[in-house]
Amino acid sequence: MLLETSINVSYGIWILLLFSLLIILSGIGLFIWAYFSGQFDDINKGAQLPFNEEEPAGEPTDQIFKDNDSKQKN
Amino acid sequence: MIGGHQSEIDSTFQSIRFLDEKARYPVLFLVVSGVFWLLFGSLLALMASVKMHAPEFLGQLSFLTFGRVRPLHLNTMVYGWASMTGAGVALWLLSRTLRVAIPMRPYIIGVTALWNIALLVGSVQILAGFTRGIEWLEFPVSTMIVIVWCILVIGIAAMFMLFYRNVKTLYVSVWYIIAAFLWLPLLGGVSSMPIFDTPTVQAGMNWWFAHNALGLWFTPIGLAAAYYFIPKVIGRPIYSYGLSLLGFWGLALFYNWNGFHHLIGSPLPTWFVTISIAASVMMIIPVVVVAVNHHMTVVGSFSAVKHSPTLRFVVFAAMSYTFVSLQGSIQALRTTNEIIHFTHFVVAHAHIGMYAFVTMMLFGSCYYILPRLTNWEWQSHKLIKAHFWLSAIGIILYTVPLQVGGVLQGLAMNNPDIPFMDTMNLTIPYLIARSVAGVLLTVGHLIFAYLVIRIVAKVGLKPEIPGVWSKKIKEA
Repeated sequence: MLLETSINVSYGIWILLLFSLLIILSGIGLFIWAYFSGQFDDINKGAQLPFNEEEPAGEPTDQIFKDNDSKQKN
Repeated sequence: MIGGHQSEIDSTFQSIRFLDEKARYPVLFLVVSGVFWLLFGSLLALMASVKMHAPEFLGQLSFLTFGRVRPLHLNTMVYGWASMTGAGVALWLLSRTLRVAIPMRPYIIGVTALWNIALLVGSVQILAGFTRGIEWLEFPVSTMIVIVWCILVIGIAAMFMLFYRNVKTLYVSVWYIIAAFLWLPLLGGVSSMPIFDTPTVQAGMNWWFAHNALGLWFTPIGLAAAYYFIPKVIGRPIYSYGLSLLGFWGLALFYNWNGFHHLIGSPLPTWFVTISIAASVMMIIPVVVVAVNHHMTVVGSFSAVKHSPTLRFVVFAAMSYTFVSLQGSIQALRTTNEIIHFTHFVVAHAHIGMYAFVTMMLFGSCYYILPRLTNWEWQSHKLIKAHFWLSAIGIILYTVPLQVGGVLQGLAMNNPDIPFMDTMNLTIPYLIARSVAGVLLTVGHLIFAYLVIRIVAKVGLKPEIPGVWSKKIKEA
């Protein structure tokens, strides 16, 4: 019984280890794909991606408390 | 168009107005469903919390006993509120960052409806006493498989967006979200396999799943939101894009081994647990990277935090992420674990992760997204502020006393001269503080739900132009 449980413990642990490695491999796979698809060619360009001509950098958005706060000060 | 595939989207249809219009119904359905489960889960949380210091409370009704109410609170919050709202936020973020409309919209609405039914069935099952008895996995396997399948379908829509995107370079938020949609179905599928049948292995699988559900599903979505909303609201790019990518791959490499540190002292092989402790400590690298990046981006723009409802919640959440992650690394050490294991300290730690980080991030995201989806204004700025302060004060009042009480509880349990009942009595004031905090949080949730209902139903006067939009968009 003890031997049987021991075998099951080892078996289950190796299954978990296998899937843990699979998660790591998926991360490595994404990295390799990113490298070869040119994602790191111009790394500074990435920072500008949330902005565009409609919502350019330099213009804060969502400042909805500003008007209220200004009125309270006045 | 990327990858040589046809896309119906041209530059005219990449405008944010168009993308938000297409995102409206699937994202709103996910968010509104999430808010319903937030309220239901809060009610269950209050019941469970009161029962900890007043065990006779609702004790005559079998379906409202602690062993059923507490797991249901956990499951509705995890798979209802956080997962549904998180999926909605993730889809909206992908649409914005990949400049492509959300595809498969009728399917997403359909699986969201199915997801709600599964949660309803699962809730009845747990209240009736049918449960797997595994923390974070109390729903019966059949119910869990339906939920995982729903997330998988939404994940397929996310992959289509990646495939048909209109930008070449992927923003860091996209990396996090795509990885989350890859990892969660894997975690859900593995944990539903009928092979973890011995108690020791089941405990291992339990913490492998639960810890990874937080770290590889909710954390990526939360960080994706932070990396989008912080620069977007203050109008300044992220401090270092290179660091943000380092943080992502650090999470991918180190996080998934972390869960087994919950089983220090268990019959699992020592080497197995030691790997987990080492990985937990290594998580300091990506966490510090993320913290430095967020801090350096916000420095000099603290007025934007004050004026933006989104940024108030998001910055609070980002700070909580740093805190809870570093605390987690310290908790994983054997010397610390000797004291805090089996105490309320761990419960408080989990709430810093799932509430102070994940839930606050989702609140902040909703405050940004919903006016853009509905073309409507939030009803009341005062109520938003009240929601923020109730949530912030509530979660601090929840976690600080409970962690102090947890340490005292652990020290007392390790002292053989102190009777067990004395240890239990010692924790009661801290448990009462938790119930008070729970009331504050629930009031905050009611305010949030009221605001969401008002904006989705478009009740009240129609604003001329929603104030959340930037000047340029107003002119357009």
